[in-house]
Amino acid sequence: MSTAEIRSKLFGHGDGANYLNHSKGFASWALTLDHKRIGIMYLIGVTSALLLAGVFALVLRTHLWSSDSGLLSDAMYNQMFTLHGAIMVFAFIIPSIPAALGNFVLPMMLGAKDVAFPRLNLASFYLWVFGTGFLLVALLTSGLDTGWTFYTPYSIRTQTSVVYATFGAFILGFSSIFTGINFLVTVNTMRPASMGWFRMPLFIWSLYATAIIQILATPVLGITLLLLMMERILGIGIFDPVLGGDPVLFQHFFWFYSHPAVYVMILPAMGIISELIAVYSQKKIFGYSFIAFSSVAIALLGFLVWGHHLFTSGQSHVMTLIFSAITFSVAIPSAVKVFNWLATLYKGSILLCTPMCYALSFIFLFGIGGLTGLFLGALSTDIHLHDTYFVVAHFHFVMVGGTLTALLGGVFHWWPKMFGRMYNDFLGRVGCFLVFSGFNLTFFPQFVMGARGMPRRYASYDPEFMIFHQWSTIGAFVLGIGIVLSVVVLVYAAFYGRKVSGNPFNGASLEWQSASPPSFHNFDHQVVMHDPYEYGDMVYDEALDSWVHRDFMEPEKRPERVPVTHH
Amino acid sequence: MAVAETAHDTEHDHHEHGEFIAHHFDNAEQQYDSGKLGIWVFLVTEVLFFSGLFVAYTLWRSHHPEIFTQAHVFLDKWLGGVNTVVLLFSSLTMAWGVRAAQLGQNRVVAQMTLITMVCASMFIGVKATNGTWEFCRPACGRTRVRTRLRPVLWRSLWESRTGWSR
Repeated sequence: MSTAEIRSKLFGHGDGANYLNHSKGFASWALTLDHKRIGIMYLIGVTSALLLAGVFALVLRTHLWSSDSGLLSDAMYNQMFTLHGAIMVFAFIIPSIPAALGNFVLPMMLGAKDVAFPRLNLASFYLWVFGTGFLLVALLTSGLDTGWTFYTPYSIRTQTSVVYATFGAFILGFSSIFTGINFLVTVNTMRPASMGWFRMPLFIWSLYATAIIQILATPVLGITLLLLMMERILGIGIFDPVLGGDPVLFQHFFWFYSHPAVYVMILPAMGIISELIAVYSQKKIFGYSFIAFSSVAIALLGFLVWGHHLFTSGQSHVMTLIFSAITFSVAIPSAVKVFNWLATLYKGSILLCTPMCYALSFIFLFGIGGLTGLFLGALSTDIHLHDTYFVVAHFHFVMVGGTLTALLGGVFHWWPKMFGRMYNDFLGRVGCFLVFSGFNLTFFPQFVMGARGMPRRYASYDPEFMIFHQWSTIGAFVLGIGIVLSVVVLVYAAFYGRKVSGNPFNGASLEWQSASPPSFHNFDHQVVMHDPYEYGDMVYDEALDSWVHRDFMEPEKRPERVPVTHH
Repeated sequence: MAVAETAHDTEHDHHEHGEFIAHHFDNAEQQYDSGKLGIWVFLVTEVLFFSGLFVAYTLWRSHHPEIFTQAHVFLDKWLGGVNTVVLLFSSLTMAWGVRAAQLGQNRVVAQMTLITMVCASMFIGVKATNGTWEFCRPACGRTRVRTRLRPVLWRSLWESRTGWSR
């Protein structure tokens, strides 16, 4: 095979046979073992969950437009914020990046044909479907009004469908565990021999750290929810003090999972940002090993801080002190990442494409979300801010400003790889601007309200908070429009966008050494392993309209290696 | 730990695989290592799953030690003893079956698997008898949960722990 043929096989447009047209019909998708199709199905699933729970959020915000609005009854309001939280957390945000994007990208970044256990992969998708189904059953029967945290003893006594919802979350937990096992084993055994641990793209490192958390923390959630169900169904006293149980034990169990789960949400997002910042600065990532190890450090420290959710639950002073100190220590690896991203941007050739706009938004929003976490980790301020809108704003800055922003950035970045077609970059950036500004308008006023004492989860409020609530509501609709616009831009592009080559953005990691969309086996030719962040070795090939690694060019077309001077 | 092989053209290697190697693995060693690591990681998750019960058990045992001394009179030591023997014996037959599979003794594998399954049914059968019997006894039955909650609490933890840890 000549070099030109190899090049067009690797970097061309997947016009011929690709994974999308490899087989046709409903069964070929429903029963597929292909990680790319499973990733796409996950993406559709989590997007539906996002839109559903997003509608709930808009209903909530509409209700809060005025202090005495009669839109929802108090009971209905409780149900609405519970289902918004439960669906967003369990059905959308936890599976969003690892299971949807990770599924598509991880094996390709490793140069592998699939994940280690394709059947388990499909099984975890169906567990996601059933788990989400149970949440919907809870929604359609008598609803759920416990908050997404299912705190006892209220969750034992309420008349709503706690058992359906907890069973749904239980099943979703296993979906997450199976994804974690799959990714951990895939990274361990499916790497090319030439890819050592420190030549893996940083997205892989973050997915690996995520997998560790999913594997070690999620089972504890499983047993906790099972005990809760036993208590409700069989009347066994475990958490309800009336039956001789201990409600604080539930909080310990719940947060032993759910705090690490926060890092299941944010770590893969950080991985995406490491990729985006490097690609769209066209500069080698700064401090590779620090970013890699900070992912692992966050994963491990994340297991030791759950008690900071219980500062006001009657923990001993010594425990609160220790948990507070460890909580502060999480800031170190997080800040290491942010400094490294900023250092990567410094003197880079920054391209403000849609994914990069999202990446920059992420740094800004995650910065605020992370720093306000310190207010809550400090004992004295937390007593004042506990259970106020300050907390709501803080975790939305991390989860939405962090994870959702990174997810959108990642989807825009890998969309041309998934469907072989380019989106309208201008509209993409407009969407990003709406998301960013709408988001800030929604949640920034909530910091102010919270600091002034507006409690979370209240259906009505004092008139002095009205103006903040109204800003927040306007922001929520702007955010909603931004997300819908982005979805429309992407879906339109998948069908009618301009066709692109294998590597339109000059990415250097292995997933870009395939056609767009990739073939069924991912790579039609053997990939060539090199530094995933060395953009100086990439050459633009006019014939293919694609960036190609210099090793694939004819010797006479390879440019001289220019010694890098500026870093 | 095996990693993927270096030099190959992905075009051709779909046809070079043996019958027992899945298409996405390069060789039998990689497939075996993946499976082995996967099942061990899965077992780790199982340990963590039950750790919640162990923590709850420890906590209740330290909070209410008197329940544990009171409640032992409700247990049948014969049924418990028989079940322990059944449990240990089925572990032996299962491990024996694995060994036989490694040695290629298919007949022994089948026999050992069958014995293990019979033991499993026996275990569950005894559990069901024991459990139902305890559940229906007025001293700690469901109908009197609220008045006699401590024995119920103890029994439930004991039941769930032993019943599920198999």
